[in-house]
Amino acid sequence: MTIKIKDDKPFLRDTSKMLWDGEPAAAEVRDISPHVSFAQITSDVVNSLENPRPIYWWAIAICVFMIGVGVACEFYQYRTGLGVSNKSNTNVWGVYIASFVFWVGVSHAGTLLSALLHLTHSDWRKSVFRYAEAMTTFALMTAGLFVLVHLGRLWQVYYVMPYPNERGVWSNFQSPLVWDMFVIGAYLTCSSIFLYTGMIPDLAVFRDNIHDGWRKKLYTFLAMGWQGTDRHWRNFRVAYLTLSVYLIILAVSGHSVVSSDFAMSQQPGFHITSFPPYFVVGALYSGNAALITVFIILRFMFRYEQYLNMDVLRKLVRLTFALAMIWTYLHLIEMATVWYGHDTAARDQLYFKATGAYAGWWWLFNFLAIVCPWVMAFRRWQTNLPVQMVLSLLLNVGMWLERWMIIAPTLGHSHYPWTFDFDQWPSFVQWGILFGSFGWFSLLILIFCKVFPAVSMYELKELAYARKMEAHHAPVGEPATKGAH
Amino acid sequence: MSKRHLLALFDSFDEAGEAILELRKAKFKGFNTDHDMIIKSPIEHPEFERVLGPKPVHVQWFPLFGSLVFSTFLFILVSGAQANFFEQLKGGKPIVPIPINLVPTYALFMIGGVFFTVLGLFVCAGLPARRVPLYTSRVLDDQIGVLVKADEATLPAIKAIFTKHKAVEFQEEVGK
Repeated sequence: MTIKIKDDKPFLRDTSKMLWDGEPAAAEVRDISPHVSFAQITSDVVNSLENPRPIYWWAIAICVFMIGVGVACEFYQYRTGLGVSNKSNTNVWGVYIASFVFWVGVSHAGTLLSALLHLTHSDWRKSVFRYAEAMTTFALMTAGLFVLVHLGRLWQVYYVMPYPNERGVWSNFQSPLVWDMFVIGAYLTCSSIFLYTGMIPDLAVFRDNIHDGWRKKLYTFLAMGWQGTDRHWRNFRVAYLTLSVYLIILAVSGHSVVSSDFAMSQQPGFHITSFPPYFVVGALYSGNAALITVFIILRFMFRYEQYLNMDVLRKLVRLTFALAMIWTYLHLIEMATVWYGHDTAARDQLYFKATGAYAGWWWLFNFLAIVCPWVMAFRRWQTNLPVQMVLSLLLNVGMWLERWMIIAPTLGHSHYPWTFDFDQWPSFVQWGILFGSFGWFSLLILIFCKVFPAVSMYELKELAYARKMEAHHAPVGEPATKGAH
Repeated sequence: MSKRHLLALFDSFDEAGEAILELRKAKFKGFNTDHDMIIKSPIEHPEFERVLGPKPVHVQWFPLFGSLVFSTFLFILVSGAQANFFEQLKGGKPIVPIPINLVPTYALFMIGGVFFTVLGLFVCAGLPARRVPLYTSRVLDDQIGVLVKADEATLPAIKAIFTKHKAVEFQEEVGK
């Protein structure tokens, strides 16, 4: 095969100069169009902050309303006592801990996209990883709130800290709940640092493009004097790579430790060896579904159609489908292990889930989390925005139910009949706080995307440059977009 | 002789790279490309490293140090707390359970590593940085800047090299 290299003068401003007669547009646009110039990327992202669609402000109002509902419920619970949540002596975790696990799960997709796919050089992640990282941080902040809400006595939160209380009693370092505090705290701290560090070059661009007001001061402070010198980039590359490695390990261990809250206990239905990988993959699955939801919303709200394009969505959907299948396998393994095992209490527990008081919810979650993702297997639906919007929401409903089905039926059907509590149904207080948590998370994301670059400009520029080079050096007669990912 | 700054802006990475290569080969008196030249670009461009020559990166040592210090501190803290707290019933289990203590130790290993990675970035990259002379925001937008500091007598020759390689704009420090 003859490879013919065309004129090798790359241009950054006027991309038409570098494309030869037959433009690569003949082939399908991949993750970014090779026609996009660096200046256009800067201008699109900076302008998107200034002029989101009007629906943005409606979304903010809805989020504030949802937070109001949650705060009112929490205030009522705080003043009246934890009893208003309708928990019982056996069913002590309820919606709060299910939601805690759910939000920790949502946080994992950010790390997968930003860190893991960074290490594997998956370029398509470049347009979505920034808001995914923000989701990681905000989902963990939301998860942390549920720990506080669940305590009831908020003022005693320091009991979980590695600090002796007023009686000189240290926290029990052998408890998985204390491990939770350590690992989730570490994950939140590290993911926030990771998010900030990755943004430094873009903050410098904002610093230079926004000329006055509090935002100028904010960006100037946060950009730390970044000027894009070779020394800056050289050290930044190594630091970001190192942080990626740390974050991947933290993400995997984080949800493994959360699963230890369950698996380390003797409770039938919790004491399962496969829980750590099951939890981690479930977290990635639900997190990716949430990424699709936010992808579609941001794409419309901030006019990111050119960067959050259909090709990226297709890859995101395929990744979610792959994770759904791995999770399904682990879910079936978990049930098979119990079914064919010798632990009769655990087998009764499984039977109770499928036929007992929570059977409807259990079957619904199985349908939503196992059957529904198959829609993603069909190419024609992979880039259908309304379908993916509804589907991603349904998957997350399914995955939330999954967490609730781990907790509620299990705690209500333990070893001893006197602990049975089949009628436990969360009160409006629990549902209200859960409702508020979605408003809180969404508000944080919306504010972040209005103040900070929700898509990474420098990585998009790298991607655009790489695509230009591919188009430039593509063998004659072959589509320019075919190549490495 | 007094030294002055000159900033050349390029539209193309290739042209900028060639200009740098030629500068390195030219070996002007009193002008050291390792110390007197700074490249600025809107994206990370590893190809520049080839023309600039090898420059060591030391960031990776910082997380190693941070991880070891933080994890050692935490292990000693937790073990010390357990070893001094005999009121807690152990039920025949070890007073200081080492495998279990490794879980929080591991968490601090991670935090220490991440903190010190960022510290390493700031130290090695020289952040927070003051603006160098002749800064233009276009180097973060869509142009490549080559900033040189050289004797006044050498600057015209350097400028000629930049012009030869299609520098689109120059910014020069005003002479004293």
